[in-house]
Amino acid sequence: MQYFNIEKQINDFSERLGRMFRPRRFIGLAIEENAMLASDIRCEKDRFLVSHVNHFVFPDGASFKDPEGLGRLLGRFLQENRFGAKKAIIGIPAKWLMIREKAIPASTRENIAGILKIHAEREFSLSPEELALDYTGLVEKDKPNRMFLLAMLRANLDNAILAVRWAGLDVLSVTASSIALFSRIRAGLSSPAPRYFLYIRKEYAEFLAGDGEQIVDVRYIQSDLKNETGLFVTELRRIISSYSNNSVKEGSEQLLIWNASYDLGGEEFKSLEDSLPPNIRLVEGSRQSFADRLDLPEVEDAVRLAAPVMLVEAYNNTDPFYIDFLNSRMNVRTSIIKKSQVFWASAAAFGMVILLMVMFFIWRGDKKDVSELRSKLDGMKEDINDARDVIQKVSMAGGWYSKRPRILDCLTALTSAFPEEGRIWVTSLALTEEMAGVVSGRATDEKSVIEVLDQLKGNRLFSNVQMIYLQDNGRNSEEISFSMNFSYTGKE
Amino acid sequence: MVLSKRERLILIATLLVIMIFALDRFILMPVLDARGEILNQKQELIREMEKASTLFEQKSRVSQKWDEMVNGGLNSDVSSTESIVLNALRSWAQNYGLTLSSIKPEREKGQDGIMQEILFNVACSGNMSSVGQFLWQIENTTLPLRITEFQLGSREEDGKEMSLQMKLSALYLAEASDQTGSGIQPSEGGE
Repeated sequence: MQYFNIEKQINDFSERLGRMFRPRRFIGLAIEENAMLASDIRCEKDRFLVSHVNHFVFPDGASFKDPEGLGRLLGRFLQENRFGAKKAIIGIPAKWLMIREKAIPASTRENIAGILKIHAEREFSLSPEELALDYTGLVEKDKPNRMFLLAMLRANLDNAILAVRWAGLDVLSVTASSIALFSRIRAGLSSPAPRYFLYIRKEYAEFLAGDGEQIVDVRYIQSDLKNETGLFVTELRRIISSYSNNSVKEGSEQLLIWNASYDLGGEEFKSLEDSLPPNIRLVEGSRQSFADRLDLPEVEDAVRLAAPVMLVEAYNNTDPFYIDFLNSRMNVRTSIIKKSQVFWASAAAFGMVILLMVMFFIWRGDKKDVSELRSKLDGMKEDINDARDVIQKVSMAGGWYSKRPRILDCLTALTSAFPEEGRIWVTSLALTEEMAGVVSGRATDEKSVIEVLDQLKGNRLFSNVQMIYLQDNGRNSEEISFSMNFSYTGKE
Repeated sequence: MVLSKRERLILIATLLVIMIFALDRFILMPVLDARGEILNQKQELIREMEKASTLFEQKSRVSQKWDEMVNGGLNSDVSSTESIVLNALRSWAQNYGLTLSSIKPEREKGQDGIMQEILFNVACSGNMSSVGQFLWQIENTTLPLRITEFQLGSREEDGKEMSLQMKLSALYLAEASDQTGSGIQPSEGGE
């Protein structure tokens, strides 16, 4: 069953992201004796095409001791020769390098870096601050590691970087020119891969010894093969003898030669071949295939200036050979945040973004609804006003229709309170709009008036029934006058 | 500057808190506020729609009544309202044997609103039956007419001859009269 590997997913994603934002133009700068080989390379898909190559010879007095001055001169040289890239990969010469083999017990990268720093201090008799370190070899957590510690003086590294920065370039990596060159040429050869590599320049050479996927030694040969052939050959034999085992069969090991010195003839190579032990076969790197691969018109120039070109290729196709003093594997920082935590934090952030987007779309939907409702209401405005108008009119006019026949009802109720016999009769009746009334009349006796008053008071249709007056009409009359007021409620 | 593990942890935690705060302050809260505001507007508009719907239902219920009122004599012309009421009163008085001694219409000044009143001071006399029928007719007419004041008295001791004084209110639609600019003139007519 295949499980979802978070770490692998993160690494793949980071790699894809890195590839997406990787620069497309580079300058390779291979440092030599008082000179630099420079190449301007552009990367198209997986191909590296050379725009410009040139040889910058330091003017008199210019050196890495004055990085600012040297950098300004380099900058001017690059400008004059139309070098346009801004990202630089620096290749240092082998003579700046020191290498030691170390056996390290199974451990983590962090621990290995710490152990190698202690070893470096002992081996080179310098404090770790004075050294720039890196190592080759794969780190195995569960078995002892065979490492090759590479060191250079920090001052040399800083001066080289400063000079290149003063030239207006951004330094991406600092590696060893011959190692990068061997790494790339070796990659193009069929198996078995050569064990030794000789990078020949006009007045010196650099020798590398490999073992499987590791560089085990780097040497600088300060002799000119053309003019000091004997000395050169002796030195080479001495170096090779410390690795080569004569017991292995003839021609089983190969020495790959990259001749970047344009004035060597066949004689020098013949003496070189003769001087090698019988088990080592001489193989020369193919200049033509190199020139074709980079689409170079001048084969000789291309071969001479191969090192800076290969710096760029090696930087973009790192293998176990690749060392980098700027971004060293020694500078491992213990991450306090695990990758899985980064993954979940990213997932949370992504979720938050999705949530915000959902909220935004809901908000937009609501806004649309609001605008639709508003326009609908605007369209109904006239109808609403019309309806409101009719309802208001009916409500107002209701008072002229609904309360009838109140007067007649009141008269009927009032009449029923009076007896049929003519002992009491009404002479006037007044009613207001609020149905407050005053009834006046006459009676033959008080008792009849009181009876009517009681009748009215006992009738629920009336309220506030009060006698206003009850009086004799005078000496000549036996009748009495009365007046009483009331309110007609009309509700039983 | 090299930070220790603890310092880096504190820095990350601080940055995280600041980020959450900024997210809340500058993104989440404004979005939620905007959404809240929109929701309030939506609720308000839905309420208005419901009110409108209720209003239309009410209108459909009262429309018939309104039509009856208009067909029954609720007029938008003040003069014709006055004339209709005067004719009706005369006609009813004549029909029921009442003697009209005066009818005096009064238009009240300073009224505003879509409906306005004309007042009629009516004085008449007749027997009890005539008065009753006359009142019944007034109170059951389809005209927008109502009695606002009522005074009934007997003219003679035997009560056969009754005198009736009333103040009637007739309703008319003011808006159309105003719009037509028919020039409402207070009628000084009387009988």
